[in-house]
Amino acid sequence: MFGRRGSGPAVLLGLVVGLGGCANFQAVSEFARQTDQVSAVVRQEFKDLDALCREQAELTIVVNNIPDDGPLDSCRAYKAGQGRLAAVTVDLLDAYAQALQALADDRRYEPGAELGRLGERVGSLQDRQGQPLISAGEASALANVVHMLSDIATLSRREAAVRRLLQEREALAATAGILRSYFVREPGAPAGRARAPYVHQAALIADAYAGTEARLRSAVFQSAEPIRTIELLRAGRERQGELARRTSGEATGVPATIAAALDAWRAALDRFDGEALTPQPREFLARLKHLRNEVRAARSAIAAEQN
Amino acid sequence: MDELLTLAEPGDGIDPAALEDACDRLRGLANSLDAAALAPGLALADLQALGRSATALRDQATRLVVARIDLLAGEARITARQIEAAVKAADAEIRRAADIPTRLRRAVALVALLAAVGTGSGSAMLKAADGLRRELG
Repeated sequence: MFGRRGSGPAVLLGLVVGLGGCANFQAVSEFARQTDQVSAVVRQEFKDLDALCREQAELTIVVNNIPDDGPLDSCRAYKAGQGRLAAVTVDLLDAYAQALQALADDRRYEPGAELGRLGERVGSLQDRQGQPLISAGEASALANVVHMLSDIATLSRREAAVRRLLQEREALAATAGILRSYFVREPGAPAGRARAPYVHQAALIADAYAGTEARLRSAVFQSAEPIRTIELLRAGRERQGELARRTSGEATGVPATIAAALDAWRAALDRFDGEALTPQPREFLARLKHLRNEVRAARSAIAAEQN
Repeated sequence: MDELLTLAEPGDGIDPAALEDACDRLRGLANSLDAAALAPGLALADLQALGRSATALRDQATRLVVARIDLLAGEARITARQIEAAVKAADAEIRRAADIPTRLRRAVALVALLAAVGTGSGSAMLKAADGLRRELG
């Protein structure tokens, strides 16, 4: 529980006025939940794309009689490179959701050593001079989110913590923007992300699957190993649908629905500081409803792949 | 890579965004090798060798856009434009090759160049570029 000692009447009055009279922590709680849902969807997609990459690599190794783990190493290199920045941003959103939820529940936000490690990861992105995965402005935005979370963890009064939470809207929006630019082309994205890394990687995986499938359908393969060929073809066919929606540029495709969910999150965030803590945050609640729908659509797009 | 070369200084690097066109070309080339594997009458070994080359090209296309390539200071300062030109020339010559062994040898030489690019070593890139040039004839 947050302590109430040491808060003078004048400060309390200022806070109550500043927060619009009666703080609506239900709305904060719902935003926390939806933030958590957005990051869960993104995390699931990271996992699924990585799994597709590795499955494709295994299939390619077998079909082409490749003597080493080259294709698997390529998946690992991608995950460790482009995936690293995206993973840091989604971890930040997760931490933000946890902080929001703690405040909504009137608990102290206690991130422990996790936040320190996250800060180090953000710092290491920033330290790589000329690193094209991140611009100086973006590095600063990510660092500001970490600082905000650290501050919240040390503030003893709930209202003060909430006020601090409201101060980094732009940094949080920038964090979501970095994540968005991983999935779809973001206007003004820094060098290295002119094209969305996700789109590039999904296309390469889809190409590899298509090439492998075509090879397996050839007469020479069919006659050499008929049963094994059928098994491998079946395994690959299950993945073609998954990849089709991941490489689709349509609004119902995986990258577009995830981008739409992140847009909806940013739109909700935009009203958070002005409305979230007021008794009747109508516009904020409307935006949260829209966010829920977009998250559901993104989840369906991903889940459709698995059916 | 015939431009006048200078030496790389600390902090010099190759921006992945500048290699996006090269990556697209590699992707197209890999797909063309996959298509070539469907020609009637190919032996299983040839079909798999074409598949291995296509895979190696895709692996390089993945790696080139993963992160900035830091050039080793004091070695030749290779530019994205030079890499792009090398990929473009190799693409044309690999597609033009009349037989599969020639196509495969050229693809291997291109992959060797791209692997050298990934190391950031200008010397290694020049050596691999020379090998590719000889292979392309």
